Order: sequence, then structure tokens, then C-alpha cells
Amino acid sequence: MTVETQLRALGAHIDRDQRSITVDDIRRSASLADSVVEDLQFRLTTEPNGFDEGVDHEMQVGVPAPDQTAGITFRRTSLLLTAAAILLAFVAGLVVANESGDDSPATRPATTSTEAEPQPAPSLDAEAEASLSPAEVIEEYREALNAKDLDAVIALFTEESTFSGHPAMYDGSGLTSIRALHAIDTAMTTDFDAYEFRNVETIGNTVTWDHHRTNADGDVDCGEGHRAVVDDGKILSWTYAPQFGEETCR
Amino acid sequence: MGRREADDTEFADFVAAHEKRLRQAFTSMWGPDRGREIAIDALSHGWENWDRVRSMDNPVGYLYVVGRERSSRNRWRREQPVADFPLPSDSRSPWYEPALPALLENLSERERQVVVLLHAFEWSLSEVAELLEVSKSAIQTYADRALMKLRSGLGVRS
Repeated sequence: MTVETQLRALGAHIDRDQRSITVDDIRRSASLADSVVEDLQFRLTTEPNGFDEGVDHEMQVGVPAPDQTAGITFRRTSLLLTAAAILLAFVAGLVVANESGDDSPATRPATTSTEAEPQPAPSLDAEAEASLSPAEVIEEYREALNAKDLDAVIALFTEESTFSGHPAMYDGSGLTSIRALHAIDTAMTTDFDAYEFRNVETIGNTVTWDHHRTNADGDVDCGEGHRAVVDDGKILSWTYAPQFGEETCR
Repeated sequence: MGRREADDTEFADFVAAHEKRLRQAFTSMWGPDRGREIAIDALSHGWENWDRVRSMDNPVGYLYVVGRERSSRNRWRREQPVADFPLPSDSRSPWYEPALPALLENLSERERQVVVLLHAFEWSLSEVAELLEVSKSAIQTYADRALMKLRSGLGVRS
């Protein structure tokens, strides 16, 4: 039997066993992403700093999808595959909520009526913050990341701050999105050591840097070419490193 | 979300017409399980952005790029993504050498994608070239190289 014939047999096997994708599958996928985001927002509003250290390989999602009757366990890989979908569901929800004042379950964070949105707690007083140079603001940012102090991270941004090019959340703006981005990042990489920021350079209000960190298994997380525009002690825009991942680290 | 019913119908028609092509495109890279997941992810993006995607000249090509980028751009995926093709599992399966899946998994991503699309899913050279945005002659080169490796691995001449 030729290789081509065997490949056709393999293709027939896959065609037989692989289910078609329906619109319901797609909607369910989006609903799962919504559930993850709702759980994320629930954690952000009920846990002072977003995530505890134990969230690593699995996270229990307490908001069931429409076809589920109990909480869902997301393994890391499943969450990763839907990470970008999270952004879409998340941003779409925010846009709708902002534009229409919609308070439907799809756009409302999974909080009780007595739970208030967390208010960012500034790490420095406003005057001291404003006096920081752009490079010092980025150093504050690094220290906040390494302390896993989400409030301190958020205090370095404004509601008008933007981010772009993030591997999971792509582009976005506002403190809620930025908080979610950092919470996801923290939750997914809890076993990594502290961030090193290398090659930090400042031109005017723009700071560029590379990041580098490792874990006990020797895995490396790095990115080259982060760029932030800083003004008055706040990061106005942050463009994620265009080069990242293990290929970059080598 | 305020989506009009007509949009839903149009998107459902789009899925019915194109999901198999997207599913096979990603399956050729990573095998049936992950391939299907990535196709769903790409189509979810299409659903969330249907107003924009529907007006594109080549929405399928766009969603292919979305899925490909999302599957490869995840910096948190520490392990190298591994393709996973099924063994011939039972007597209902058309027969092929049990070594074939592992040999496919050891090809380069591009070789694997080309040879699976061409010979397992029986796409034409033009269709594969259009999807991967390379010339037909380059596709033929990838296919020849992949077939040579598979023949060598299986110990067959043809």
C-alpha cells in the first residue's frame, strides 16, 4: 500500500471520528470564555489582590456554562486555547456595558449587590508618583509585578491607558481590562521567578525594555521590545514586546 | 448583544459552508483534537467580530490566520506544541501503518500540513497554496520532501 493511500485512510479515519463544528459549539466556547471572565472578575472583587498563589494548573470556575450544571474545571491548556477568546468576550461585554448601561448577566461581573468594585490603591501618593521619571515608573511597575501586588500595578495606569499586542488579550484600554490582563498573567505564571527588566532605555516619555524570568524547571519567559509612554507618573500606553517566547530567549 | 437575527443566520450559513475547511486546515497542523479546538476558537472570533469579518474578501483566510496566530502566540504554552494523529483504532478504520501518525508528528509543521491537506484531505495544490500563501511549486517541494520522509520511515518505496 502506498504512502499516499495510507494518508487517505488516515484522512478517512479523521473524517469519520471528528465531529463537525456547529454554531452551538462556537457559542458554547464563547460562553465558557465568558464564564472564565466572570470568575476572574469575581476573584478580582472578592480577593484583595486578584488571585492567590494556588491557582496554577487548574482553576475552578464557579459560573456554569448554559449546558453545565456544576462548576467547570479548566485545565491550563484549555484556558490557554481560549485566552484570546476571553479578550473578545471580555471587551465585547465591557463595550456593551459601557455603551448601553446593560446590567445583564452576560456583562455584569459575578458579584453580589453588596460587593463594590475594588478601588485602586495607589502605591505612592500622587505628588510623589508624578515626580517619578518614566524609567522610575517602569521600575515601580516591575516591583509591583514581582510583589504580585495588583493594586500597585493598576495604580500606575489610568482609565485612559491603553495596551496593545498582548499575546492573550491583544489590544485594550481602561483599568478593568488592564487589571484582568495582569491577573491572568499572574495566575498563569505563578511558578516563575521575579521579572528582570533588561536594556531599559528612555527617550523623552517613552521607555523601552526587555523582560526575562525563569522557573524552577528551567523554562524561560522573555520578551524583547516592550514600549511604554509615561506621563505624570502614569503609564499611558504599553505595547507588548513584539518578540517573545522561548525562541526569543535562546 | 443586540445581534440581529439575520446576522445569526448569515453566520450559521458561513459556518456550514466553511467550518470543514478550517477544521481540516488546523487538523493538518496539530491533529484532530487540537485542530478542532483551534477551529472553534477562530470561528468564535469570527462570531464576535462578524460585522467586520463578513465584509472581508477572504474571511476564511482571515480566520485561518487568527487561529494560527493564537495557537502559536501563546507565551504561556511552555511545552512545544505537539501534533497528535490517531492510530488505526478498530476494524472499522481504514487501515494504515500504526507508525504513520508518529512519522507525521516528526515532520516539520509545514511539511506535515502540506502532506496531510494534499493526501489525507485531498485538497488541490492550488487550495493548499492559497491557504498557506506560498507558490504551488513550493507546496510541491514540501509534499515531495514529506512523502520521502514518510516512505523512508515506513520502509516502503512508493
